[in-house]
Amino acid sequence: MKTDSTTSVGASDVRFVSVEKSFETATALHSLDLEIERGTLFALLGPSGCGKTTTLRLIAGFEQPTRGQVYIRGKDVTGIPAYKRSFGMVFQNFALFPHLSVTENVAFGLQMRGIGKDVIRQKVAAVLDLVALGKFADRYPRQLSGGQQQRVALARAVVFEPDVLLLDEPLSALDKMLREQMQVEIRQLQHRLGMTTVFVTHDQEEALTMSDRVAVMNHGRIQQAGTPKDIYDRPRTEFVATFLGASNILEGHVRGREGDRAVVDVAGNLIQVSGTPVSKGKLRFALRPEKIVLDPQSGIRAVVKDVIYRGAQTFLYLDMGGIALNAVLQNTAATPADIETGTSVGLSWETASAVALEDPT
Amino acid sequence: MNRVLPASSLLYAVALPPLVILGLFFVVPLCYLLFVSFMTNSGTSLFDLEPTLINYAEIFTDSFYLLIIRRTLLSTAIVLALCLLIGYPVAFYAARLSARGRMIMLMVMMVPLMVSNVVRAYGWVAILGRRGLVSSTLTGVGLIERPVQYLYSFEAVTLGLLTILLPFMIVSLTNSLTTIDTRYTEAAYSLGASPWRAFLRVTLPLSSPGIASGLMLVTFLTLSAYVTIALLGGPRYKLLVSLVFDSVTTFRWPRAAALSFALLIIALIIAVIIQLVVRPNRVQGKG
Amino acid sequence: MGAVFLRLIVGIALTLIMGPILVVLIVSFSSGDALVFPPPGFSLRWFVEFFGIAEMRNAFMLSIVLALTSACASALLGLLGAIYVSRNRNGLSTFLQMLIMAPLVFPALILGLALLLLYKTVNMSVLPGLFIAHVVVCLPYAFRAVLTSLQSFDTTLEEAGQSLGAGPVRSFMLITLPIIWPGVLSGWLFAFVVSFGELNTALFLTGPGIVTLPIEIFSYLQFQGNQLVVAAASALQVLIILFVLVLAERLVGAKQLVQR
Ligand SMILES: Nc1ncnc2c1ncn2[C@@H]1O[C@H](COP(=O)(O)OP(=O)(O)OP(=O)(O)O)[C@@H](O)[C@H]1O
Ligand SMILES: [Mg+2]
Repeated sequence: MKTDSTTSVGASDVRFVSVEKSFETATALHSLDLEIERGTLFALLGPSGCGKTTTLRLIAGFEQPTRGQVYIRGKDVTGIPAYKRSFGMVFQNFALFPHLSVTENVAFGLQMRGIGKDVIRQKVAAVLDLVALGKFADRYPRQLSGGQQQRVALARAVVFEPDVLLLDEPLSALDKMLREQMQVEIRQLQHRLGMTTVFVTHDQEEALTMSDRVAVMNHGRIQQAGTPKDIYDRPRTEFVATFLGASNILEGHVRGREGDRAVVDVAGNLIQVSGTPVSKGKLRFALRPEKIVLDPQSGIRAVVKDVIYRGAQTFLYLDMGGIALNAVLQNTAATPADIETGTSVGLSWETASAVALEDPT
Repeated sequence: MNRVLPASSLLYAVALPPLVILGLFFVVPLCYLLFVSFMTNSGTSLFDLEPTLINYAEIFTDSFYLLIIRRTLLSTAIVLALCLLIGYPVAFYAARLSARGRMIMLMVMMVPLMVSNVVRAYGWVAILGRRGLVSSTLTGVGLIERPVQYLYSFEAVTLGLLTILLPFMIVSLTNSLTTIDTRYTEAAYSLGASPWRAFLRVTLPLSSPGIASGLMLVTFLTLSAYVTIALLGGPRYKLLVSLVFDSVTTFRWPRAAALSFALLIIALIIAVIIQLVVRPNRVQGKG
Repeated sequence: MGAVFLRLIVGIALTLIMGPILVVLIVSFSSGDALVFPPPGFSLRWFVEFFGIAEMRNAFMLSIVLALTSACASALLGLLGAIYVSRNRNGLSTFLQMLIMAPLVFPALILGLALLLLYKTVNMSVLPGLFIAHVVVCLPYAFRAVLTSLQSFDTTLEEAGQSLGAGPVRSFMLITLPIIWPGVLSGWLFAFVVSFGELNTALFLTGPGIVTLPIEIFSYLQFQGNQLVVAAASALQVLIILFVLVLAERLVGAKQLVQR
């Protein structure tokens, strides 16, 4: 099975080809294809139990695929044990060696690679400076705060310049303030080193803020992968649309086409939906609440059921011909402040905001 | 779950040495012993290669053996009862101590557990023997005229076994009682149970795994405590395990082997009875 | 009322358990010729006498050597077994655990008899046979101690080692072992103590000139040897065990010792 073209392209650092992973009791991953380009910060996002950790452990080699191949830097590493692969990993609880000092922890990976003492000393000092822990070199892990431990773990994982850096929910052990600070730090460090990085999270905000690309997983499958903006603005499945932020999921019959858009009849309102292959039958699509604006001229009408004022935003609960619809209005000066329950309002949005969903109804 | 060491062959290699050692020097000898128990006693070699059931038949028909078996069952039952009756309050007390106090208590229990049984039995010989403390002190004081032998009796053997095995029972029960969440008892109080009823209906049933494991341990150790029985029971008061020893010293190997298995069968029956009576499963859950 | 009753029973139990051992300790330092209480005076004459008897001296030495070596073997085998059992949940790991723990409750005298029959059949010489019996008997104690510490060991630390390029053996030696060593050490100490007091299995397995201290004490008692020499021998046994326990407490802490 040496038909990989990636060797010559050299662009993708991690590649999964139809990887399946089954445990005795359950199948954790179903035929997963994945491609992570060199230098990207790649987030695996999904709810608990969807297979994020399993995916990461397959890259690491802690697990072996039941079927399919894993490539790192174009090399087929399927079957190669973890310690013969080149990756750095930051574990959820950091997994710092309690019996070794900070320096010894960080030096461990270099020692395993048989690097000379002097070089090790230089590199460890350099990386500890990078994570601003120079002063703590001789401490033991239990003498460090959570954030400092996190930095040691990061330093330990990158000091030997691995091909890939893996992070499994690296920030979940930290409190909110520290987490936000570390999100920025990790991102900056990753940019400075340019190291291909895969990190697992179940926090959509974290995935959106930190990563260059996101793969949204559910039930052992990748639902969609792309840039954060891509995924947010053009979700392809209901799961993606609702897991990342809130979304109205609407459904109607296709009445015709207009350019590359379908015209869908939702409770008597004709709505243009972008990105759809079908021209007949039923269609489901997503419409984000914050994309909706009030427009007295619009033919799309709805009755206001409830208004909730939230400071910066106003939440509207609407009834569009029997179909519930949520809208979020930014409270700018331009927004009319006096929306009353029971009144009828006109709605409009950029046509690209209504995005067809692919999953079957 | 070969998460940690993917090289699973390496893991098998790790299991191999203990498997081999115990296979060769635990499983094989016991199978061999079982085999020998069905052979004929021989005057010249270990046994004659003639299959027979006579070794077992004799044990369960001969009146002498039956007497010893009955006596063994009786003293086991008494030791078990005493261990439970004394051990439970002690464990109950220990479980309510602070973590530190309990630690000290368990350490105190460990010393006797580790001291060789011969030393502990000798302690009783030194106390109860003809030239022992009680006898010589009483003679000295003038309460008795000639030294008296308090050993070689049912009471001496029972006392010896009890004191030697009590720590096992206490440790087992203490471990079990400490793991019981005090909130259960508090819940029982809140439902109107008196302390005594709360104990009977909540604490006692919840400690049944500890009771069962302690009793089983004591059973096995009582049945096989040859040296204690020999020193304190002497030639007069013998139990089943003494007969195993005697058969060996008279080179009747198949007989000794059969007696061993008779002993094991009795131990297993008692273990089953303990399980049925104490029912530890109701707490541990099935499987 | 209940509390008083409880304390009374605890007192009785402790007296019954500790009494005989304390008596042995006290009379072994007696200066008198016979067992009398309280002893007429303090002396070490019975210890001197003990070491004057060649059989006792040899038995003492043999027991020490046997305890040292079989503790090492048990700790090693127990470590290997515990590694497998702690990392696997399959039929073999359950079986292995049961097999290793079995000698803990198995009637020791019967095990001794079974080994004796085997040894006689294959012509095993006395010393190795005795050594193996001690290993089999001590193994459950060592195994249990190591298993407890391995089960509370966080295996992601080993994965961290592997992510840094250390193979299974290296990550075990450099990470796991340094962290679980108190468990291994307390396993070793348990095995040492158990071997040093081992009696019922070894009863059949000793040979001419190859007798362990507990068995020497036993046969001395049976042949009505001088009881105060036996007291000294017994006291020596107790003192060594106390010494080992105190040492263990210093090295690995009381918690490690009493947990099971
Ligand atoms: N070693 C294992 N043995 C059996 N099943 C496993 C094992 N590891 C994972 N699984 C199963 O595989 C599925 C995916 O697990 P995984 O740990 O990858 O989820 P996850 O996305 O990381 O979830 P979380 O956010 O909760 O960490 C789960 O259903 C889990 O129960
Ligand atoms: Mg996970």
